[in-house]
Amino acid sequence: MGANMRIRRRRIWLASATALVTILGGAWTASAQIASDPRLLEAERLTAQGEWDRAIETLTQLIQQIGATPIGAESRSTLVAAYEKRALAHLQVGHQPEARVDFAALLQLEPNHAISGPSPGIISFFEDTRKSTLAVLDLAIAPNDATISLEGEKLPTPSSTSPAVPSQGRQWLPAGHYRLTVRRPGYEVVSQDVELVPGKTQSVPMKLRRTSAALFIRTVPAGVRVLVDGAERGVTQADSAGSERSQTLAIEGLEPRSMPYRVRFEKPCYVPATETVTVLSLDAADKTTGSDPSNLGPDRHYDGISLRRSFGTLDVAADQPDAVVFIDGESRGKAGQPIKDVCSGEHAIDIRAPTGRFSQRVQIEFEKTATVKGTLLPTFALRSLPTQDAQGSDPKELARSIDILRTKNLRFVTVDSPVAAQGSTILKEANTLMQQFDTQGLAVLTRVPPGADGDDLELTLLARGSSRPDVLRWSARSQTSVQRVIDRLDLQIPVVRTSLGVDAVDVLRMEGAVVSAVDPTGPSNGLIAAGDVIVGVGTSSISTVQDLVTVLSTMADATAIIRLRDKSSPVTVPLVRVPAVVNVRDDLPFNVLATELKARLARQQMVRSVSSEDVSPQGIRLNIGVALMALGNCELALQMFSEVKLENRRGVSRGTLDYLKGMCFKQSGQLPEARAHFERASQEPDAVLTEGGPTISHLALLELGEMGKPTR
Amino acid sequence: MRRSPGQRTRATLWATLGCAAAVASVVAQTPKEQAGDPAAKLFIAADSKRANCRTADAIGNYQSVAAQYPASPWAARAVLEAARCLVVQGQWALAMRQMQDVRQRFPKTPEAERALERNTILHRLRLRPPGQSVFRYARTAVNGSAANVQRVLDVAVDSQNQVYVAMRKSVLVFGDTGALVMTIPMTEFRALAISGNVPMLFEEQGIRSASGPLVPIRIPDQNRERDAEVQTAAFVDGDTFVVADRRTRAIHRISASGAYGSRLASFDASRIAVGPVGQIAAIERETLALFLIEPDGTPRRIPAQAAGYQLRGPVDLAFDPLGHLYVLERDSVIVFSPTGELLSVFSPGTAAGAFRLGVALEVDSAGRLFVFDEDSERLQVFQ
Repeated sequence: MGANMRIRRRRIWLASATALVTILGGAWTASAQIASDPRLLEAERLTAQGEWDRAIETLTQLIQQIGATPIGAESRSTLVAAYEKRALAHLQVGHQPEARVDFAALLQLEPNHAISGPSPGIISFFEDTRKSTLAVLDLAIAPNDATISLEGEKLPTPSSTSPAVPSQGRQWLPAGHYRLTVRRPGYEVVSQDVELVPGKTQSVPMKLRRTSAALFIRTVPAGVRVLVDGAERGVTQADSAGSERSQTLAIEGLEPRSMPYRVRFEKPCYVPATETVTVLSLDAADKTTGSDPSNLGPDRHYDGISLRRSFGTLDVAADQPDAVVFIDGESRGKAGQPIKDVCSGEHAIDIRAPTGRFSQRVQIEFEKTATVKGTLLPTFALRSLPTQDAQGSDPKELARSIDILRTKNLRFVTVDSPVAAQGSTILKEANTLMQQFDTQGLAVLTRVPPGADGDDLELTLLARGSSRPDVLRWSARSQTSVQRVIDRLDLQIPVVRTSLGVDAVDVLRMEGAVVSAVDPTGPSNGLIAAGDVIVGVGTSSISTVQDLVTVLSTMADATAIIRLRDKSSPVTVPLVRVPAVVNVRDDLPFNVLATELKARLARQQMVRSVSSEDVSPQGIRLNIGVALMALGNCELALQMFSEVKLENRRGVSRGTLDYLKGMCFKQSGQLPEARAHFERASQEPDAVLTEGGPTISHLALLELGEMGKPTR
Repeated sequence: MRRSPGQRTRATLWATLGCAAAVASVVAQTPKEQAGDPAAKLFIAADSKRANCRTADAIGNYQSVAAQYPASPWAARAVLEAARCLVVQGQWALAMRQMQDVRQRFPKTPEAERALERNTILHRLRLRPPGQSVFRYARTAVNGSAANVQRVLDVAVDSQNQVYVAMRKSVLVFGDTGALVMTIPMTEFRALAISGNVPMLFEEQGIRSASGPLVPIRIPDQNRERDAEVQTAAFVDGDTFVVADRRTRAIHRISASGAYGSRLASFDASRIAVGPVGQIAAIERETLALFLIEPDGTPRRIPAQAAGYQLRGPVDLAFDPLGHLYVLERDSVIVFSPTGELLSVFSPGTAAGAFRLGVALEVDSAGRLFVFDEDSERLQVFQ
């Protein structure tokens, strides 16, 4: 028996209390009803004044009026009182036959009614009437806590069904045919027909046959799941009277066996409790079993299983700032602060930040701390649209086809929202839906007529702030096409590259990367010269420029040992990290790219040890800006560019930024600002649009040429 | 490098060469099905600017193709053209960087191959350390004494590295390994011009393919048409050739079918070379002086002597794909930049592959030199 439990076991006379309330009426109850009806009060006043006839007249009108309508509980009480008073009035004026009729009518309504106050003669007259018009049912049921119910046409209740009657002793009933049903958990159910004759006593002795042991359980609080040997057998219900203890839950079917039954009490947010019950024999009605000497017979009564509240702590760490923790859909505060009052049990944890989400199911245990480390990913709310052709398709089945796209950069959450129409509506509804679902983007999956390549699924992706969706097509039947889409979704562009500060080219019939130029402000100046041939970096051999690019891209060291052809000793060159940027016109899924880069930037902001010399935040912002340009949002792109600071150097540099800003201003119609930026960009001969790509100065000059002379 | 006033004048002249020729040629080369391609349109616009000698604007437009249509094949072509313009502007280092980007972004494409070849040329001409010879002997492509090759008039190389050695009565075609693969009999050989892989042969009075009949070339002369007296010829682009006619002492445009086009210049040339964007250089037959032919047909003489070189008697000349001009003297090759800057004087002397009586010169797409030495009767290859 658990130490945290208080068990009280006692026998409960379940049926008796219910039967008393249902069957027995009382004079005081009737008196209370008298006050409620003015005509009864009037009859009372008339009898007090000795005006018996007028009282009879008044009561007759009342009885006729009540008798003309279906009788309810309240009207029945009024009717009983009216019969009683009219009978007494009749006796006062010597109308004994009429008085007997009224008492008989009263007893049909309340067979066990008692009158008080009148003379012994009247009481005797009343009892004589009862004996001559009613029958007696004399019950002797074993066990005596069985529940007895009677069904019969003459039952003096409005429903003609009595839920319960006392299992022992005599009781008056109107004569007639009844069906008696006796129930008791752990015993077989027995039904018996009974014919009651007026003035006669019908004895019904009955002993139920025991079939199993039973449990009678009340819990604090209610709503506790009760499991026997792991199988749920019921849930305790709240007490209608408002008690903190539940109603009794009866569980039967525990047959004798040597191994104890394991009874478990569970409720979310509470410490579970367990009891064991041994049922060795059903015949042990008078024997003591179990550890409680007061426990008699094979049944068990758990009258107060009390469960303690159970909390654990949830400690959530997110890799992005401003993350909010949701437990089972309810906001519970910011990540990084332990949440100490989490109910034990399994919970759905959702971590939401402006740049990503993370979901996981977590088991919280009593007085323990569960840790969740959330790697937040940009999340797209996925809606499925019906097919564009006439074939039709199940949206849920369609949504499942997204599962094969296992991506590293983002995830999808299927949402259920009404679909107004197909296609372009994504743009109109997007922002509303993204706010509604608190996601970084919106995705729409549609089945389309297969193209020449067999692709019949179309995924449209729209990031927040974008007005130009990415559209990806594939066929679930083609692994190649699936992989193609995954590759696009998984794309992670480099935002910085490791540089030696040299340009290198491939040359026919020459092993190595031939240095064609050296940045005079770069790390190789004075160490490497134009014309040198790089044949090794560290332990790696270099045959081509691609080899050099590949080796440098994997290097995290501060310096590199460079081997040059025709040079006797290697040189050690400091490595620099410089921004790398995509072209706004590259064929890239910019919606995916923008959300992935924002998440990447957010993760970096969580790392407090970012050096001021680390250019990767600059590279990320620069690329986010370009992605936003590609998505048609120059306003946000300019905001992002305003946070980028680049040096004036060879490659992607300050001139690149000026040119990109100029393009944004141009698209926004802010021509003077555009011109100013293009003019600055045109003065940067070493800046390029992308690494190795078009030269900024030429592009800027072209823009200036197309803009013409400024109007003054 | 400081330039003399004379050099500056020459650079200006050289930079404008080929402008008029180029515009028509590029537009003509653009397939009709690509005419609606916006990248192609922008490319053509860039070509037009280059043809109008607006080189800086042309570079901007070419760069714009690469910026706006980075995945288009036209982007690769545009970068190659921009690089060619940058070389003309003297920005060869930037040109190399951009051509390398073509290799990185468009691997395994013809443009990537072109980029590799052209960076090889620039590396050879611009990055070889001082004191190191620009060219090195690579091999003997044809051993004349073994292959009965004598009195060679011209040599050529096609894009499959087949070597054509032309003599008065025949043209011999050697494979990449040096084996003779074909002999084309000639009546009176005058010139060999290769368009891609298709050799066009010029006899004294007409043009023919390797296996086709001779088509007479008729050239207007004093209000009447006369049979041409072909001295030399060169391929321009598309369907166009230029022919130096001895009778009219002029250079004319003709088509591959022999149809007359127009008179280009009054110039009596012994050898003609056409550059990658239509620039024309020629050797005057009587004086052996070197001239550049302006777009309007005006011949401009290249000084026979300047700092670093002296032209004693040019015998042949050729352009590489970047517009560098190579001039063959008997025992040396002089290389000029597209702007007329002397880049190199290559004379193998007595080293391997030495030639003393060079008679024919060819430069292939990777800038390799093919020199036929009459003295050793060998076709030597330098790279």
